[in-house]
Amino acid sequence: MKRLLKNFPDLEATGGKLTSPQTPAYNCIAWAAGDQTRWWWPFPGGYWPPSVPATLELASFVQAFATVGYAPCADGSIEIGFEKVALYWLNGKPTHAARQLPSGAWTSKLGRDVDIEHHVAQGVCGPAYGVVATFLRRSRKNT
Amino acid sequence: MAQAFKEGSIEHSRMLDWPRAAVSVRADSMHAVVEHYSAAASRVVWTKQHLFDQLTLEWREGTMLLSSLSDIVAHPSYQRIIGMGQDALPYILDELRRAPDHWHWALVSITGENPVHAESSGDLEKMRQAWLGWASSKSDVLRG
Repeated sequence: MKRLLKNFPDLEATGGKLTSPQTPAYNCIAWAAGDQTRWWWPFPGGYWPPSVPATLELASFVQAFATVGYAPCADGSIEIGFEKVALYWLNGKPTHAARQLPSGAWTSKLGRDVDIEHHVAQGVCGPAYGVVATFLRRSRKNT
Repeated sequence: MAQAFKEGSIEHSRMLDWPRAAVSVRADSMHAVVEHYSAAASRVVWTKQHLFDQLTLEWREGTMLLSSLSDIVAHPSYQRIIGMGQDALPYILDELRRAPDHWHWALVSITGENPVHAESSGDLEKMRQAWLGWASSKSDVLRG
């Protein structure tokens, strides 16, 4: 918990809770995309959708989420009938993804560490993941 | 942590002095020389294991929250494990026997081989099985 608060200083004020034990089986990108069996990353040893360029650029991550039905949208507000993903970046490189729950809260898998639920997308901004770069959405019919 | 590495280095530098130390031992005490070398040899094994364990601990602590595989394998402690070369292999394989983790890059770097099928990439359990299968097929070589 100390490690989480050090890396996500806003979490204490904005609120959140642990929702799973640690596991290296999947990462934040996979979790946001609905896959709990693989580690998604465009690097040897990771899974990356075959049709998407394996580059460490935001555009590649947006395309990766497009393979499971997501498209860019304006913000992270609740929209009936849609679920959203927030993509984070630091120094111009993608770092993290969080998925919006029906309640409007967000769920994040933190690397090989735990899953957490955080009340706002900005809850995991900070030195580890940087800031939200863009939001994506897809119809809940796709799930 | 840094202190532990420092102590490991001291042990290592002592070992570089073995020949001189042996010369200083009187000729009628060959038994003492043998004991000296045997004890030192056991320290070598312990030091490599200890170094690997320390580096692994640092690597996990430093990368636990990261999703970026490129950043995970670029961590200085992971790079030092790769720098241990073949010496690190038994320890990495022991780690893999215990649980899956991101050892693929280190194993490819050290061995120059890749037994993981492309369709298994990202599935750490399948990757683990592929590497443990590779280790079984190379057991004679790995035993040295």
